[in-house]
Amino acid sequence: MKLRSAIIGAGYVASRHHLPAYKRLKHIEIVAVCDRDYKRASRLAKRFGIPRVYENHSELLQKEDVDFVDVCTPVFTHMQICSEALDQSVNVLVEKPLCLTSSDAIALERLRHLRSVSLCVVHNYRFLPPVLRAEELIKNGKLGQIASIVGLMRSTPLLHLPEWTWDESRSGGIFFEAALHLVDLQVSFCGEHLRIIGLTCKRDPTYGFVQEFQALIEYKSGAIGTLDVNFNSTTASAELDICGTGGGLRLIFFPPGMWRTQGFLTPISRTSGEAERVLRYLVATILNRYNADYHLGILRRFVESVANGSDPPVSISSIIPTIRLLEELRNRASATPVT
Amino acid sequence: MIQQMAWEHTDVFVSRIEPVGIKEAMSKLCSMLNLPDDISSIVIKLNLCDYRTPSTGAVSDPAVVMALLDWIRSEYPSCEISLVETDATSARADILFKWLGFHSLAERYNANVVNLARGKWVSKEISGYVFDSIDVPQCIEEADLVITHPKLKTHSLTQLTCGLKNVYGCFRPRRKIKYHPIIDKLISDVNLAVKADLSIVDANICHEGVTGPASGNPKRLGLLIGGWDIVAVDAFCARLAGFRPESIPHIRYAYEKGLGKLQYRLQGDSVLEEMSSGAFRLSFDRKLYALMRLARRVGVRAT
Repeated sequence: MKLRSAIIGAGYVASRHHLPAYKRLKHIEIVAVCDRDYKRASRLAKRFGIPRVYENHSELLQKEDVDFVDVCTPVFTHMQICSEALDQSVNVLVEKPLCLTSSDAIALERLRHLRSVSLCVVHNYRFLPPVLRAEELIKNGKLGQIASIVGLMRSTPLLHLPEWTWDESRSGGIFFEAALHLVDLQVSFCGEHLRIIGLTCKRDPTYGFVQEFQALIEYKSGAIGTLDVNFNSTTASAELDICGTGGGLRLIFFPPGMWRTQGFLTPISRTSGEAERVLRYLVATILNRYNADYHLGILRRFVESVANGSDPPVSISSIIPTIRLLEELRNRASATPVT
Repeated sequence: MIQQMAWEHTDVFVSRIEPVGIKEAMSKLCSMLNLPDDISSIVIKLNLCDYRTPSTGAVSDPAVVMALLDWIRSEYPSCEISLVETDATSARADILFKWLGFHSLAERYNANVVNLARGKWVSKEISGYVFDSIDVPQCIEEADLVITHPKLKTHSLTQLTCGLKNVYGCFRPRRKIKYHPIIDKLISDVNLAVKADLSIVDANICHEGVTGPASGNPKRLGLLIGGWDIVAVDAFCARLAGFRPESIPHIRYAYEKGLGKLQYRLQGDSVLEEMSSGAFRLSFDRKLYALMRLARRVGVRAT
């Protein structure tokens, strides 16, 4: 029997990531799509053969009998939409970030617990194959104890993104929209943070949003995390370098790949990792799977969890340490003199 | 009248920025270009293709545009000046005007900033490679003088982008990316419809590499280049950057449609020494370019 689902939000994430990934999953049927822009929702419905279209999520929740809704709207709508869905005892898959404060996350978790349904947040990087391999190595002690973890992210200005992303009070800005995955992986590997040792940031002189920041973080495990996120760059890249007492590894994204770093990093040792990445990239792009691949792992696990009645792959409680750290970084940035 | 002048002039003028500075170099170039007296409206087509800072060499440099406005305002105090650009696949002109400071610059020189996407367009019949008619911005049609003001850059699709390619920015559809498979012929078509009278190339900080026009690397040549024959100026810029002009399809197509000449006569500051030593060449890995073309054909996004 197929699970029934509805998509709320017919924008980029739904059209380029979630729906192409669902197409590759069996036992799932998308029965409705909803967007405030009815034409946009209709176009998406036509493209993916979705039978019904709504322009109001409340109406969709009332009329459709679904196993879960997939919320692909901007973060500032999540509290309202997720609360309504949970109130109607509908399971929820919601895009990252879930919300901008840990208190909101806790409130949603209480509601979810009350209704005895499932809510999964799309922290999809946790389920990329190289990240899973890295996690296993760390769990098996192959890296010893993590001493430091360095996250680097580069991108062209936020101006590429919709205007609501520039408003930090609504989107969480560069912290929640851009740095979330790197922060989430640091927290996943190192645990909760103890303190932010230092933070510098620069704002866009015209539009006022933070366009780059560098942060030094101490985790309770003793690991030191570094984040260097620059959205005023000419390139687009993200990577995470982990240095453990027993070995190291490097994760790289767009597309994802992983190297274990032992001894001298000669061109040949780098090439072995790159060769796999190039091959994956070629296959994914030729088969038009590049975007879907980023979300397939988490979507598959979530659908299975709904079918089995088990815990979701990314629960609210598992992301609260990430939200706490992002919230603190953002608050520190607001208080940091503009440089 | 200005259109007729364009056919008679194949001189290409070069003005070095060092040691005199941008303002003096621009003033010298514009003086050499010998603009007519009876101009009441000028449109300057900027080159704002993506969200990049001027230091990347990818977008029009406000400092160079300021020098141009300075000269124009001093020579034509009552002339109506418009800085224009239109929305593109990955960039919105209004955001870029504000972000790069063109609004305040325009205010300083009593000029207008115009997003062509929001203006009026008129259809114009052409005998093109792809189209029989193309929409043209009305403000460009009505201007006495249209200046294409490109950055000199290499380009992952067209190899080189200069005056002709900058005019392609006036093509009306926002999602220009879908026309990429026919871009070379389309550049010629758009130039048949939107005829720029004058090309003033900002070759101060240029942009090189096969990932241009926005993701390459900056290279400083320190030149301003101008001429009334857009094809001839592009042909010279191609040579300067290390290309044979005939090997750049859109330059060849424009020439074959009679939009200008491939031959030119250099005037102004000499650059022959650097040209012969290759010092002004823009880096462009042709093997990688060929590989990227092949990758695009089989559906792989190569950059």
